[in-house]
Amino acid sequence: MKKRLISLVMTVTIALIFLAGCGSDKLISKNEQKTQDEDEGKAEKSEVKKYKKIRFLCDWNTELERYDAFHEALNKWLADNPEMDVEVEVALDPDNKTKMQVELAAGNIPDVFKWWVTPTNAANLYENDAVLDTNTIIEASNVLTQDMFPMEARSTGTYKGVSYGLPIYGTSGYFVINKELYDEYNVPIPKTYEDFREGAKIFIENGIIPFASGSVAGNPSHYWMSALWVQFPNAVEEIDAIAEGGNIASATGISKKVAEIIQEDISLGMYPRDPVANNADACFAMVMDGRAAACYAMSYQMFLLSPEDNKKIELISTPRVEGGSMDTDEYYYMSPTNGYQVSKKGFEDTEKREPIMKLVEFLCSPEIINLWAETEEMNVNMEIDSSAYSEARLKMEEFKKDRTPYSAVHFTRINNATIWTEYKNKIDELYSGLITPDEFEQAISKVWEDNK
Amino acid sequence: MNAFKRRKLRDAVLFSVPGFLIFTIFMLLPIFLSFYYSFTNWSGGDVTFIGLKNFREMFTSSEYHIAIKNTFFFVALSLFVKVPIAAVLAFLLYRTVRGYKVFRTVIFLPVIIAPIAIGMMFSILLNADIGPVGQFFRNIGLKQFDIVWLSNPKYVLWAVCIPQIWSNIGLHVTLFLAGMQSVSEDVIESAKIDGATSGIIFRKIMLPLITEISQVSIIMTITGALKSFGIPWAMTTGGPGNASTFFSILMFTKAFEESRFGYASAVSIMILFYGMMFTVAFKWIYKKLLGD
Amino acid sequence: MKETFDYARFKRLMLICLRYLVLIFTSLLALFPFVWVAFSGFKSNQEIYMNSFGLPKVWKIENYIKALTSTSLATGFKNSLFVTSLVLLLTVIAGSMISYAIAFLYDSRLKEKVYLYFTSGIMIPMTAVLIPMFMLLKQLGLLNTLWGLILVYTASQTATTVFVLTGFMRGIPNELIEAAIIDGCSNWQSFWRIIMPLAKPGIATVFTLSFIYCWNEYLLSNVIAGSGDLRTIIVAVYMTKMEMNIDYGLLCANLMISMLPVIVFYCLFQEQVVKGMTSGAVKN
Repeated sequence: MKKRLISLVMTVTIALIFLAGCGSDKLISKNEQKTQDEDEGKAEKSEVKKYKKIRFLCDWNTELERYDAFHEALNKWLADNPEMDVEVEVALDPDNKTKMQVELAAGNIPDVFKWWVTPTNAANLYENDAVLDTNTIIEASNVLTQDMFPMEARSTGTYKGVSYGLPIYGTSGYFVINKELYDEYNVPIPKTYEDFREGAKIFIENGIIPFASGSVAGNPSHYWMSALWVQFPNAVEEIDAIAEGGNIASATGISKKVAEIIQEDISLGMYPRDPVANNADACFAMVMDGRAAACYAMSYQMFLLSPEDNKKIELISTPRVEGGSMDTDEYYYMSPTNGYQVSKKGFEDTEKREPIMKLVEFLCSPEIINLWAETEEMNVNMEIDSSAYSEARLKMEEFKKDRTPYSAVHFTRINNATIWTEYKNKIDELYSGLITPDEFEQAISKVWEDNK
Repeated sequence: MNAFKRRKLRDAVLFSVPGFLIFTIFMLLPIFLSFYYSFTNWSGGDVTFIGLKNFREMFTSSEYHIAIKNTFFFVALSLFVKVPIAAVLAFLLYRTVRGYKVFRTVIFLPVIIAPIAIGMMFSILLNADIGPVGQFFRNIGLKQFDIVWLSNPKYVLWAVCIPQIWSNIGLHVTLFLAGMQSVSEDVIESAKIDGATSGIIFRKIMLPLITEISQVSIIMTITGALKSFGIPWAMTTGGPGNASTFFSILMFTKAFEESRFGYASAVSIMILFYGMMFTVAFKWIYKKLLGD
Repeated sequence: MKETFDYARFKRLMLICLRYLVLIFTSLLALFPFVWVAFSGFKSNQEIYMNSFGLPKVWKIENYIKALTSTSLATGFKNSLFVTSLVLLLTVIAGSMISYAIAFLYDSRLKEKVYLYFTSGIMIPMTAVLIPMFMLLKQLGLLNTLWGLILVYTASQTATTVFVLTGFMRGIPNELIEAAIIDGCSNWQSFWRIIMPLAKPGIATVFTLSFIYCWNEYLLSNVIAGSGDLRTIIVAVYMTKMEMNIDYGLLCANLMISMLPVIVFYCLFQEQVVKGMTSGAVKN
């Protein structure tokens, strides 16, 4: 009896699912919401000739309120422009990278997509000539101009001398301290690395992690490493030279020096014991929760700070390393990292060119740019409305006020995926004590040799 | 061939056709393509034939040897720890008359969870800085057990293998239990009457009678261990460095992080090769052991 | 005499206690992560890290409410159900037909070869076939459709199905088939009317294994059918994992809700599953 009931229920459920599945057009993905809205004017619809369908990929997570405004703006624009036929896809980091690889291999990348411009995440696109260079995009548009996208912003997206995509925003980096903890334990704000280590001892005695630096596949440790690296003499020139094929391990032995600093920090107990298990988010949370006293954070984390958490923290100059020649009070790190890419194949399809350009122009319109500007470091020369800046954002702006930005970090200069992956792996190994600073230098030198 | 046999063959083929089509097109065809690509240096653009270069590079690379070591370690661990424990647990269940169904259901439950979920769960649990396992040992005063599981290269392999065994053992317990319950009761009864203890019953009587189920369990263990990806990827992404990298993680990294599809195909061919090798070796050993 | 009797009895009682202890310990080990995920669903990130083993100090019900009312989870559920049901249907039909053929129809020369052909599929990791599969689906126009996913899953599960069901069917005595044939049944009829009903437990086994696989498979469904309304439930659950600001509480709540159907399915079918393996027919 029970068995029969169960099988009956199962059959009915499956039948219903079948009907639901076959009835709706859910078998094939499309932007059904909007086309159904457009169906309201069926007579109108048949008069408007639609462009060929184009695909737009973004990472505007539909689960988060932060991105609702983006989707609303996009949907409204699509409704106002019924001749556009756009399939909107959402994919998040890191799965979007996997997806992109697969689609690239199959010759099927989206027509327009929000992506990194740095070769570390786009080298495969550049190598295979899959996306358009900046000039082509600008010239094909009646709305975009060359000065909207300044040359400095284009430098990170430059691969073998050609600048690709449209750089829109970037990332800045900050040495963040939990001011409450520093006050509570009477630790002075560190100016030199020596100060930093002295203060760390007090924190360790009191069971607080002095510096939350984790290394999960090189994140966020690669930023911290670059922040230390850049202080040494000639570092900026050397890092910039990497883009032209220079040795990532530094001809002047900086890699070893930085590795030694990190190793020393770890042996003193300044970092979390479990770097592989603590990613950027976990490290940042540690500082907010009062388990750690400081960390090196990026702007995209800072933007998400709640007002209460924002009150706890303070941004200071990176402690100056011994033997360094950079006055860290004068500088802050900022480089363009993200923007839009346009598929070459899509552009060359004459039926797709117009809708692609229209979409790109919309994505660079003041409306969207201002939405970006609320939470990102903009690199475009456009009117930005800064009235909606959050407290945390204002804090960052205050910090940057009298400083000069520098953009030399490995993340934006290494342009070979194999080298980048190995480099990050070696940082992981350094953090977990698998290799010594010497071995670190040799290993990354070797991987550069083998792959340059 | 007489008409009867011919009809049998015709029907056999007809019966096989639907499955054959789907399986061949969607499973074997990609494998053959993979095989083809392993001899090229395809990186998303042009496909150029480079012969055995990928394999040569692979065999001389340290990451490949680490992956072999780790994968084989996991296969051995599964074979010599998971399978015996599963058999013993199944026997305990077999001997339990009251409530064994509850235990059986509960022990099977971990099999149901998605590998990614298990990986995420254990990476929080084993986090030496903020995870509960470390806190637990600190609280009860056993500080020496408060190990850095995921970042210490000495322990990370254990840290990724144990959750996999944990999540999978329920399936094998159920398999073994099923096999044991299909053994004729009389044999066990007469052994009990003869005064044999549980231990003897288990070793000398039960084990030999469940050889077929053991085979199924062992083959599934070997192939599953060779394929393992989800849990270690979610826990450590193969790190630190390559300390917890298995074959499939190596393959994934090469394909999707370094864009070297040709090389990655070579790695996946090796996975298949080892799978076949182990299975054949195992079947041969089994035959020898059973002496028939 | 009385002493020896008591000693033996005592020893037996101790062993029984020991046995129960081991089983209870194992069960607790097995249950613990579920309980942990369930409770973590009620906690904030901070509490998950700081108070991992305790009951939530603050019961954050919003996470579960969000999970239960989430439209993306509901869509994911619908998609997963659709994909899984079809895969089960196709796999069982195709797989059992092949198993029947191997067990009863092929002669000994072909039997082993065909069996090997299909069961070699269990060695194939999904990561290995991902890219060629993707290109193939693109050629066939099946990208970004649930049907593409269904066909791929079916192909992969066919191997397991054949692996399990063949053993089953070999255990069913040949005489039954021969009797049916003498009575004038065609192969199809004896397959459908006689073998399938007998193989129900084996089918339940395959059902459970395939259900678990389809419900939890992440890599392929994300790449082949990862967009918007096509997502399966496990992909939808992982969308709540923001790259920079993971709300573990919400993630756990979503996980719990997404695991419920599989747990229910298993509980409903588990009798059959074990009966299936128990019929003394899982031979190779």
